[in-house]
Amino acid sequence: MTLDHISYLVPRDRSELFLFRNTRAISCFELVVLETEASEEERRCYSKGLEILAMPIFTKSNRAPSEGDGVETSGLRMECVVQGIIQTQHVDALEILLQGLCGVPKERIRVHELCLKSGPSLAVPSEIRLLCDLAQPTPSWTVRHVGGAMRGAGAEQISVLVRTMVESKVSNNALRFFYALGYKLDHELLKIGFAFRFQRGAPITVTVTSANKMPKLHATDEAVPVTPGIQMVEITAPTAGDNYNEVAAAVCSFCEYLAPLLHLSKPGVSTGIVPTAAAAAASLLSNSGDEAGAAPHPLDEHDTEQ
Amino acid sequence: MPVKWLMHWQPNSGATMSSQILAEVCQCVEGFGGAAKDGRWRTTLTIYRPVARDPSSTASSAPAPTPGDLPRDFLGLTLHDRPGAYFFILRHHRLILQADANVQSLMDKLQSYKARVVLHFEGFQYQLGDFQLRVGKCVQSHADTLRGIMMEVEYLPLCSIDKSRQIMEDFVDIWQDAVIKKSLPGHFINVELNFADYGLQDQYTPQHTALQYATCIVQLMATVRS
Repeated sequence: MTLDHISYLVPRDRSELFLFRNTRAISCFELVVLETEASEEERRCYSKGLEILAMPIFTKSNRAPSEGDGVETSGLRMECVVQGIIQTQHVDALEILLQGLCGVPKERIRVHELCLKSGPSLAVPSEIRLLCDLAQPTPSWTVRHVGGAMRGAGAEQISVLVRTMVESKVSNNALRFFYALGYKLDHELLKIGFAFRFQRGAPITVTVTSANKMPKLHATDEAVPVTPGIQMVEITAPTAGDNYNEVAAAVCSFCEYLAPLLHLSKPGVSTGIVPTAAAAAASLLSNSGDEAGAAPHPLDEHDTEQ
Repeated sequence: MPVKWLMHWQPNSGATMSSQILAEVCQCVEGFGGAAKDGRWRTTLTIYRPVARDPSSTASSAPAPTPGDLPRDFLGLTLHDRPGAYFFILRHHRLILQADANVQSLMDKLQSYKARVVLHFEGFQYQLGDFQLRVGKCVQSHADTLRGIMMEVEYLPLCSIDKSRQIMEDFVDIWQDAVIKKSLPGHFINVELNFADYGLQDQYTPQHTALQYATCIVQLMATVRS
């Protein structure tokens, strides 16, 4: 194992050091360490002493979860994610395509998302999202923490982002609770749209949503779209960390089916809208009408344009 | 869920707490006709402390920090009969939050609060007619020092705190008699809580149990100090 074969990141508490076998080069290992908060000084330090560092890394990664310390450290969750945008006028066509590909009923999404950031009293900056599912008869709350993206040579070679994600259901006083812990509301959104959850090489979730902002605090009934003409498409799939290559491949191959309508890429890498979208949407909508007999989605002007 | 009372051992003035007392309390339970030992249990309580910004290190760059804002009475609990759930309690704010057990890994990631002390309540469980008793000790994680002795009394047929009060009091009276007959140097105390302060109702829930443990640990610490 030499420095050339290793890429790494170092979290502040060194709690998430991971060792992955690099399947592309036998006998070569890749140390992929999650989180991106290491300071320059820490990185310099570790690049010098990597071999020394390797010992604690092995020890940590081999440690069984929940090792009698009384605190259950349930397995670290990771997810593969890609995102893209689509013009609102083509969302119906995307829905038809997804319906055909997935063969499961769509789920309605109406989620109030509150982004909270740690206040000035806390030493380590952090961010959480409180999600309130308004589509349910009784709104339920979830807290989510999205960790730093995996980096290193292996991560760069795949076209999805792999990141940690921890999510937990919480009681409905969660906002008050996190305020009491010193967190402050940064912004809030209402996400409206739909999702498909299905199995295709991996459990995949596709969400298509419009982001809406609220003119007054928590006034979800008065929310207006942030970008009326554009909606966000996100595909996620959970991965255990050692199989991210397979899960990433499953996500990528699914993305290819959607390619005529939209490009999906790692979050933060904007690929814009696709020139073929209008034609593809028109084709989908007209096919859907022919096959269904009674068209579930009325044809719009794009069908006649093409 | 069935109503529970959580009681802690209050030693008589001058008496000390020992595992011998715990053994004798267990004998007391086993002395009741028909008490059947059915397994062990463990509840874990974690005391969190904020990782506050150090005022001295940020004097020149950041705005004045106010660590006084951050709660110092922040507790987390895993209950033996709700392993999939986790409970956070902020006593000063009269706030109890219920979450999934994996919220602990979320807290680890945030690094805003660290677990400073982990305490286990553990012992044996007994079935006694309609009652379930759990007698146990409180010990710090990775240490054997006895921090306290406590007992859960659960009355299986009832979920209403009000409706069960009389029968719980009657049971505790009988229990105290048994303890007196044994001449043990102390007695069990039930601290009655005003659950409504935390927005909890008369129907008993795991949140009620979590709150009783949070109160119990304060009582045990006070006992140790005195």
